[in-house]
Parts: sequence; structure tokens; C-alpha cells
Amino acid sequence: MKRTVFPMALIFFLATAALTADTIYLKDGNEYKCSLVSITEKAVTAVLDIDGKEKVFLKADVTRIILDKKRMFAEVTNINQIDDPDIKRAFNLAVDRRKYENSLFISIMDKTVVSVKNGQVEVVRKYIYMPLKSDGITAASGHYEDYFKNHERMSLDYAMSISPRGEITPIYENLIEDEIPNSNFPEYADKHVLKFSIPKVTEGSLVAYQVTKTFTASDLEHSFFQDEYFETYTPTIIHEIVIMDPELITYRILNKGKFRIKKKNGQVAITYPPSGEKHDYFFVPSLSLFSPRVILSLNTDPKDFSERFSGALDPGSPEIENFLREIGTGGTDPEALTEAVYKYIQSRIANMNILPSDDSFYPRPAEKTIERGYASVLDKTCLAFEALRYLKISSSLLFAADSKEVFGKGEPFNYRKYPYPLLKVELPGKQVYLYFGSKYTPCGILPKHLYSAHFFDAVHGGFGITPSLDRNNIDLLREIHLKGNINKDGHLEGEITVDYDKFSDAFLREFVDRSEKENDITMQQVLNNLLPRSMLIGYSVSGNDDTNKRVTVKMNFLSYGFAGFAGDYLLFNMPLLSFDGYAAASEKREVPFAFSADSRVKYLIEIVLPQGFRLSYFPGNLNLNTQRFSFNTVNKYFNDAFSMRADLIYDDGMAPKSFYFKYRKIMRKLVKFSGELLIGEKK
Amino acid sequence: MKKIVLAFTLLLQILVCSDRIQLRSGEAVRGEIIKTEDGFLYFISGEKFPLEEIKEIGFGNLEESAGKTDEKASFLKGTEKTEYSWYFRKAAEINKKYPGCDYIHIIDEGFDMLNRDGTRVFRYKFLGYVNTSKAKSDFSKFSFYIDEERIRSRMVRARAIYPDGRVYNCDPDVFEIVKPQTESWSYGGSNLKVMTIPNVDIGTLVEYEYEITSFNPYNRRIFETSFFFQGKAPSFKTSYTVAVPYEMSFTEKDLNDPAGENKVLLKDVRLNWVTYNMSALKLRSAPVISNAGGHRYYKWEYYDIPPFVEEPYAPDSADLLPNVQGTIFFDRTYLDGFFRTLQNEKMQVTPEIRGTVNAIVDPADGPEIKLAKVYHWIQRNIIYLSVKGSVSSGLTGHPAIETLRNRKGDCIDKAILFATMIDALEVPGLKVYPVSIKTNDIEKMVIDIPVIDANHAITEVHYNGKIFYLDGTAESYRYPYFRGDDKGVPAVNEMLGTVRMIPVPAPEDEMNYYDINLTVLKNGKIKGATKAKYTGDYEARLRGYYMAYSGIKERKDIFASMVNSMSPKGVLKGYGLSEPGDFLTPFELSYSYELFDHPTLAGDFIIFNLPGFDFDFPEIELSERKYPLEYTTSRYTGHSFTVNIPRGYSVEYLPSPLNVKTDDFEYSGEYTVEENRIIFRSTYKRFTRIISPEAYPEFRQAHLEILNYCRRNIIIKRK
Repeated sequence: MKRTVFPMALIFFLATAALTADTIYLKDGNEYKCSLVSITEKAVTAVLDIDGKEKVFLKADVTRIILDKKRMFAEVTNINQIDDPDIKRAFNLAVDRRKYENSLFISIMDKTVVSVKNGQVEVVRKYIYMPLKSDGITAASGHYEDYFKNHERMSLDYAMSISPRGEITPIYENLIEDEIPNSNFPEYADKHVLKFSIPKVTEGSLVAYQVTKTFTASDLEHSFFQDEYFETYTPTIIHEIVIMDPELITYRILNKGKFRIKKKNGQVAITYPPSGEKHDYFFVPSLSLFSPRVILSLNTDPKDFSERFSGALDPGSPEIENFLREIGTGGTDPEALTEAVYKYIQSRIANMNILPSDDSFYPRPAEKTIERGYASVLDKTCLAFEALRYLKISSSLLFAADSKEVFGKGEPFNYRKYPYPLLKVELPGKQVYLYFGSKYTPCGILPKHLYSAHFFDAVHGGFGITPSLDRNNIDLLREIHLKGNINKDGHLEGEITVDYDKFSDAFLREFVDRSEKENDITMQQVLNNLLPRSMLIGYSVSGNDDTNKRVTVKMNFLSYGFAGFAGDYLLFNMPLLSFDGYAAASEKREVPFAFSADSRVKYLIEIVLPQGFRLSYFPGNLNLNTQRFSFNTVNKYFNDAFSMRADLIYDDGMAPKSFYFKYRKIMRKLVKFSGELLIGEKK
Repeated sequence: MKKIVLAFTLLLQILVCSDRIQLRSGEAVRGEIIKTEDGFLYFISGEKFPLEEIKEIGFGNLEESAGKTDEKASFLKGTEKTEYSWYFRKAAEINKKYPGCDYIHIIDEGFDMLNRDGTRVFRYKFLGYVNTSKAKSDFSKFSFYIDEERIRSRMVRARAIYPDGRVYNCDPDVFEIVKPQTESWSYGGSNLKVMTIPNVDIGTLVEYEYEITSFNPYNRRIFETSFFFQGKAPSFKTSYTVAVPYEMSFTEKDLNDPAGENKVLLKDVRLNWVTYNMSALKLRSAPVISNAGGHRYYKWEYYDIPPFVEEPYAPDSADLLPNVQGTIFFDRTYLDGFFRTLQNEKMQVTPEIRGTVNAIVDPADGPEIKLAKVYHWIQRNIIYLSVKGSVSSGLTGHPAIETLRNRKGDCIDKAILFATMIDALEVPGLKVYPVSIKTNDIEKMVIDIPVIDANHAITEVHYNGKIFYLDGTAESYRYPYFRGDDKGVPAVNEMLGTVRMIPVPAPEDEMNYYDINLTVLKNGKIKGATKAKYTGDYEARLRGYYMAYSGIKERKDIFASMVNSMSPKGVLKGYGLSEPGDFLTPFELSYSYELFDHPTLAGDFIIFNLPGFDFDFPEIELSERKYPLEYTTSRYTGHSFTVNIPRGYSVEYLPSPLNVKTDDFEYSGEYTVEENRIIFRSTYKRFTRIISPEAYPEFRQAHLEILNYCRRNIIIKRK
């Protein structure tokens, strides 16, 4: 019997209208919230939540019963019955809500306790939130906790809402689900998501829950690694980490912060003062670059990782030989062979969008990858590594971090900080880096976030940094040429040619796999982005079927109503240059500054006026230059035409917050320039 | 490890009724459950498990058999080889005719059979040719949704076939049961059974055939069928057959007496079917009907169907594709009764509900104010969360008291609670009913035959002879406005047995209106003040936005950004807005500003366009359309500008008036001069939400003229 239901308990249950958590589902489609009393050969007995009465169901009428798990505080109905000092502390904390007028909810407490017991790492994480507005209720009551089912035991110890009067409503089983984000390839992705929603959350109440994760300390498949940020967009009042076994668990602090570290009784307690609201939403760099962080991990010897990794590789399997035969690797030029291997794997093995950090940092057998015909980036990289090894071309299998990742001085190694597998191939006179992400990425080009990135060598050990991307690298350059005539109705007819940079041409390379109609719709959208309110008359795309070539798009267009007639005057704005000052309106800045991406664009705009008109008013050149942003034009004017060459450069590195104010001034000039009227006059 | 345990356990099963438990660790155990005692659950085998470790108990599920595991690879032989060689040639032929498709649909065959006892079987066969890596990825995996209490699914065959005759078979015993990730607000969805078809590659055929048996349908009388004859891939042969018995005989629970059972005998059972969109492809609507073995067969079969190509801003593709829908009902009587019974038992007014309602309204409030207050309360105090575990909760939600206590519920929960709370008010002449609809962002609800075809529930209000609608699922709609995607669709009121159309509102009920006063100075500076008023979706969006962004700094930044987007050196001087949380007051906002460098100073001329006056119509980019252009709801956008020009200046040039009109919309814009002021009035009204392809060219041309018009400049000149 799960619970013994006594009359007094029943009355108590009714009086507080507490929610029972078991649910009975019947064959006729009905369901009842209840408390299960018993099951016999033919009957199921339960006390119904709705009226507190006992009901007997025929077993033949019942399809299933979901049983509530008896979590911590399951029997508790009021805060006075709770002996957890953290929850009591959070409940009794006087929060000045006026300090958080912009926030939907705040974190009252975020506390982590890490310990190692009997070779198991145990991480107990306690969260207490307070919604501040109606919209914060939804945000504060629904939560996700990721975990890796093959390596971690995860338990939701308790989850409940606490009303301002101290009434407790615990979660029930129907509001907890264990889901898989990547359900298409479940045998690959180890990652699970525990999703749950806490009932009866109202404005002013608290939401409290605790999760415990346990995993084997020596498990190299899934080494303990926790990266915690202390200044985020959720204001936090109490933020603590307690390390019970500091001789086993290492911590490192990244980015400056106001940490207080106390060592006592063999424990280390790391605390941080309350963090407030953040008000900047535009041009914000990745939090990893500037938010104070604490990294917790077990000491991992890179050699252990490499040994385990190498052991999982699959050299010399016959499938590799067959595979290479399919590629037709009869030549001897290592560069040509490398490219052939890269292209064949990219076309033959479909991509599964699963990172090693979602699954495993260790490879699967290459023959499995070949047999399946689809694989993760890691497995494709390993297949390439094996293929090149077979061809006696030297390469290193690397794991790289994001270029925006921060590494502290003396920070201990943990491979989970390096989620991107790469291949570094040694060719005569040079090294080439291969990344098996998008199949449309040319051979030897990495995604931007993997340049200047830290890596470690998975097989041979050792660390390094990938090459940097020269700002003047031709592969970064996009060139846009607009040539048009304004006709007698004021419409602009012409052609736009775009030579794409290698980092943003993937969507055009996809054209070869898509229907003509789909491509037509895409091209119209491309035109709309360049020249709003324009109609695409025709287009051609070249170079997209060969990753060695640059992709060029030519679009014939009509921009309706481009110029307006006002008596003897013709008025129009500069096309293509569309800048908006919306994002630089704030007069204050709290966080550093960064553009979301970097780019280099060259414009050439040539426009001819309609017959009988001459240019009478036009803007001068604009020259704006800072370390991270520049825009320079060279304008030429003729009697009935003008041309403008412009260079626009963004650099997405992080800049101090003072740069925002510089940028604000620049943006005003830029927007003014792009909004300038050019005036033609009848001759 | 878990998967192997599960598969192995299944392999050991014999075909008997078998109960099962799922442990919290994820493992499943099957057997006959005989009792619970002292905190344990016992199987007949003697195995016992602590109740604390059990998450779920299921009773009486028929096990599916473990199929024979085929060899990993084999070869086609004889006539089968000839047959599939022909399919490869056919695929090549279709590829030539319709290049650029991810795959070719060679065979697309569905079969639905209703049995005499109300159980039913669906069988499907697919044969396709893989063209791209996307199709390769898609077809490498096969999955079913499973519901062990009601359906049994079986993979009959799944394989990849190469041109040289090599065949790789899927092992039906190797699968994973997973719970796919769903929306943050959705709980209770089904598990997926995922299987792999090995060695699928570009240039191979993929073939699969499966069968789904509903051995325990939630209602044996309700049998609904649906099949589409066209998709994004071109198909060689598509066919669909429905078989219904001449008679049906079964027992069912008495809807009005939970302990009672009725024997049911239905004679002369026929399929009531309707087809849509057949004429565009010149497909014959009527099926071929035949009889065999006590069943009537209805068959639709077509060849050489071209691929469907979507158009932007068109209705949902399911509204455009040829399809057939069917049921064995010829009127809604039974369905409405079924819903009514389930709904009625959930709409019980309790003292707690009455107490809550009395705390929300004032006794002195008039009926509509009371209605409005409850409507607003439902939106703001019941968080949207969907917990579906059974048919009852799936179709008609949870009891009102449960939703009230949990403060969570989905659309039907909110509709049930709202209706119950209004009942608690006991206002004469005021009654609210939950109704089923299909939102207008997906395919239309089928109402030509009586089927259950809804994705949303709202409420129908009857008050003093008027009927109108409210939707409690949104969070920021002022009474009597409701979500735009509820407009222009049928609403099925099961309680009253009616189907009514929810009208598309007048444009004035979906309004954004701007009253702007500008003063142009000689140095080019512009001082401005804008007042904005809203109704409908616009108002709700902005109200919700400002409820979320309620901080002083945030709001100031928002207004400053709006000014900046008008002019780069714009400076916000002040702003105000009505209290977004006050749902009884229309939401309005105002702000004042100074714009520098907005006009162009050219000698004696000052040239400028009206800041804040702009339109964008991305939906008219296509020069012609094959399908209608669909909007969510109607629209009204109004501008009223008063521009004070500096002393010593006169108006040199103003754009001419523009008046354009079609059956679907009208626009008027006009500049006039009054002393030293330029007055500009602009009114855009769209009455309908669907523009037919025939009306589109004229509609588009008119909108191009509006775009042209809003780019025009004003020129004033020094006297």
C-alpha cells in the first residue's frame, strides 16, 4: 500500500485542498487525480482529489495509473514545516522589488554543492526564484534541466511553489517529463531534458526546486565539468558554490569578479554579491567573454583522454579501403587527395547536427559511419582521419573551442571545453584545417568561430591555436555592384551583382539541391534584403556547384517608385545603404560592446538619371574610421549620373563599453548619410 | 543497456493480455499484476517492486509480436527484380519531368478499415526514390507514435533497395522508445518508437509498409479518415481505400451512467466523404465503390501527380492540396452529445469558483463589465500549460475547479473555466459556451461532414441576443477583442449543436492610428509629438510588450529607439502611455521629440518626407499568384499629420492625393494646406483577410502605388 489513508489525514487533505498527484486513466477516456489506495486482481481503489471520496474502479476499465514520486517535502503544506535553512532564508528575505523593475523574475538563490563520495561526483543544485510580474510567472514556473542519461543519474529532489503566506504546493508527476531533444537519432544523442512545470505560481510567490546529478568520477566518457556565470541577465541575490572536496574538485575563476572565497573545515565556499539588472540588449558580446565565471572540474590528464580516444579509433579496417576505392584516390598529389576525401565524405555521409558535447567525445567505428551514411561531425572527422592515414597523409585530429571561449592562466584541462572536432592536415609547405560541419563549406575553410581558437590534439596530445583570419583575407570579402537607370516614371531598373564571401554563401550552394521555385523565392528575399520593395525580374547564380569557386549572383530588378517627381525635381535616396539607428538609442552603457559578426563589404553603386535631368544636389564623401568599424566612400558625380564606391568593415571582437558611445556618434552620421536625398533637376 | 533490456523483454513475451509497469529508472517490466500490499506491487510470477520505484502502471495491453529478424543484406530475384528495375526507370522519368525534388513518391498507398466491433486498422505502403542528402537523412529513420493502451503498431517491411538489386532490411526488433522534446508548455504527449532503415543513400529506393491497429479506440462509433493525394514530391501512384462494415456490433459504456453498458448495433453503415481541391489537377472526386466480405470499399486512385510548390503568404498547404475526408456519421448529433457529456461534468460551479468570481467583480458592475473582468482575469491568472493524458482531457480539458486551483491550463481548460465562472455570476441573459475552432494559421476546419477537427478552443458569448467570441488563452486582450488567428473561421458549439462563422472584424477593430504634430524650423530642426491609439491585435501586442518592459529605463530606451529610427540625431523629449495592466482602458501612447538633420536643406528649399509615415507590404513581391494571399485578420492604419512650416516659407510642392480601392481594401491619402500648415490624412483599410488569385493583380498594383506614395517628399521654399 503506497499510503495509509487515515480519516484525519483525509480531513487535513480536504481542508488545505492540497493536490494529490496520482492519476488514473480509464478506457472511456476519462482521468482522475487521486491517491492510489490498492490494486487487487480485479479492482483499483483510490481516493479522488475532486471530492476526497474513495472510489473503486474495475481493473478492466483502467488503462494506466501514473504514480507520484514521493519527493522531499511531499507531505508538507506550509513553510513552517520545512527545516531547510536555505528555503527559509529565501522566504524570509526582504526583497526590494523596485530595484528590479525591468525583470520578469529574479533568482533569490542559486546554490551548488559539489562533493565526491565513493568515486561518485554528486552535484546538488538548489534554485529559488521569485516572479515579479505576471509575465514572470510563466518564466519562473517552467524549467528544463539537461543531463546525459548514459552517464548521469538525475533526480528532481523537490519542486514547489510557496505562496506569500507560506502555503506549499508541490509538483506532481504529470508535470514532469523526460524528453530527448534529438529524437530522430536517439542512439546518437545521449542528452536528455527533464522538463517540469511547478503549479500554483502567482505573483509574489516563490518557486523552489532542487536537482541532484551523480556520476562516476573516473568516467572519461563524461568528465565532470560545470561552468557557472555570475553576472547574467537574471538578477541574483544569493549565488554560492560549496566544494566539499577541494582536493579532488578544481575550481578556476575566469573574468574579473567580486568573488569571496572562504576555506573552512576542508571545504571551499565561493560567494558573490547580489547581481543587478542588465539593461543593454544590443551589441552585447558573448557572456563568456566578460561575465565572471567559475569553472569546476575534476583534474583530467589529457594523456588519459588521448589514450582512450586513440583506442576507440578504427585504423585499417577493410571498409576504409573500399570507401577510398569509391572516391577514386588513384593519384599521388596529397592536396588533391585530401580535397577528394573531404568532398566525398561531405557528399556521401549526411550530417547529423549533434555536437560531441551532446553525445560522446569518443568516435564510433568508421565502418558504422560508412554503413549508415549519416554521422555526427566527430564521426565524419574520424573517418577522414582514418582515410588520410590509410593514404599515408599526416593529419592531427583536434578538438577546438569556440574562438570566443576564455581560458584562464593555469586552468586545468577539461575536454568538454573543446566541442568542435577538426582535422589539421600536413601538406607540403602548409597546413590545412578541415571541418565537417556544413557540406557546403569549401575545403580548407573553417567557420569563423573556429579561427584563432584554442585546440588540443586528441590523438597525440598537445595544445595550440588555429590560425587567425586576416581582416584583409579575400575570403571574407563580399562585393556588391548595383548598376541602374531611373526611368521616366521614377522606377529604378537595373542589375545587382553580388560576389559572396566564402563564409556566407552556403545558402546559395544549397540551391543545387533545391527546386527552381524554392530558389526563386529565396532570391526574391535576397533582393528584398538588399533593396527593399523591389521586384526580381530574373537572376543567375554561378560558382555554387564548385566549392573552390566564389559564388556570384546577378539579379535584374525593378525598384518601383524609387525616385519621386516634385515638379521639376527628382528626389531619391542612396540605394543599398540602409542603416538604422534603433539599436544605438540608449544614452547609457553597462556592458562591453561587440558587433554580432564581422564582415567586409565593398559597394559600387552607379545610377543614371532619366533623360532631361541633371544632378543638382548630392552628398559629399563620408569617412568614418575606428579600430572596429570603418566606412569610407568615394563619390563621383557627372552631369546625369553618379557613382559611389564604399568600403564597410566590421570587426566582431569585444571592445570596452566606451566604444559604444563612439559607435553611437558614428551611427548617426551613417544613418544621416544613408538617408540623404539626391536631387535631380530638369535641364 | 536499457534498450537491450526492453527489446529482450519484448522478445520473451507471448501473445497474451499483459500488464506492465515502468520504473522510474526507465525500464519496463511486463506480466500480470495481481495486487499491491505493504508498499509493493506484485506480479503473478511472484516478482515484486516497491511502489516508490514505479512511475507508471498499465493494464491489459496486447503485446505486439516480435517479427522475424531478416538478414542484413540480400538481393532481389526474379519478378521482384524486374518490378523494382521498372521503379528505378520510373523514378528517372519523373525526375526528368520534375527536377529539383528531394525525392520521388513512387507508391503512396493508404488503407483504412473499420471492423464490425469498432476496432480499426490503418495500413500504409510507401516506395520512394532518394534524390538528396536531406531525403537520405529523413528516410534513414522511421518512427511511430505509440499509445500502448490503445494502439498496436507493426512495421511490416522497411528496406533500402539499390539499383543493382541489393536490399538492406530494417530489423523490426531493433528500436528505441523515446519521448521527443515538445514545447515548454506541453505535457502528456506520446512516445515515439524509432527504427533505422539501413544503408539509405542517394539513388536508392526506400520502401516501408506498416500497420496500426486501434484495438481499444476511445470511442468505437467515432471513425474518421483523412488522406492527401499530393505533397512536395511528385508521385507516380497515390491511392486510398476505406472499408466500412455493413453493420457494427459492440458494447460501450453508457454516457449517462458510468456503471452501465449498452449493446450497440449499427445497421447500414456507410462512409460519408467529401473531397477538396480536386479540380485543379482534374482528379475525379467520386471513389470506386465495391463490396466484399461484409465490407463496403471506397477507393480513390490517381497517377502522375505533380509536386506541390508553396507560395509565400498563401493559406496552409493542406487547404490547397487534393484530399478526402470521411466519417460514418451523417450529422453531428452523436458527436455533440459526446462532447456535451464530457464538458458538462467539468463545468460544475463550486463554492471556490463562486468565491473567486465574487472577488474579481464588483456587485455594482454591469453585466458586460463583469464579463470583461473575468475575461481579463482568465488571461492573466491562468498560465498556459497543456497536460494531456487521456481522451477526456485531450478533447474537453480538465474540471474547472482543477484549472482554477492549479492556475494552469490550456485552451480548453481556460474555455471550460471561463464558461463556468460566468455561470457562477448568474447574470440573466448571459451565457458562455466553450467552442472548438481551428485557428486560421493552419488548414481550415472540415465542416461539410461531422468530424472532430479542431486545434483550439475559445468561448462563444450569448448576451442579450448578441453572439460574439472571446479567447482566454492570450494574455493582453482588452474586452471585447480577441486573437487575430481566431478570426474568419467556423466555431463548433457542441453544447448547442451549432456551427457558426466567427466574422472577420471591421478594420476599425484592428487599428493602429497616429496623430502627429510637427513643427519645422528654419535650421532644419523638427519638433514633433506623436499620439498613437490601437485596437485588436495591435493593442494586445503593445499592451503585452509594455507589461513585460515595465522599467523606466527600458521604456525610455524603447521610445528613444523609435525616435532614432525616424532620424539619426533624434532626441526623445518625453513620453507617456496608459497603464498597460488596466484592461478596462484602451491602450494609448504618446511621445515628443526633436529631429535634427531630417530634412535636406538645399539653398532656399527645405525638402523632407513625413517621419513616421511608412508602409511595408512584403506580401506583394510576386507579380502573380497561383494561390490566394492570406492575412490573419483585417487592418486599419491611419495617420493624421499637422506640419507647421516656418514663417517666411511657403509650400512649393506637395504630392497629389492618392485614392485606390478594390473589393478587399481601400486607401486614401491627401495633402492640404491651411495657412502655414500642411495637413496630411492617410487611411488604409483592408476588410478581408483572403485575397483571391484573380483579385491579386489589381490588389498588388494598388499597393505598389501606396509604397510609391509614402516615399514622396514635401518641398517648402523661402519666400
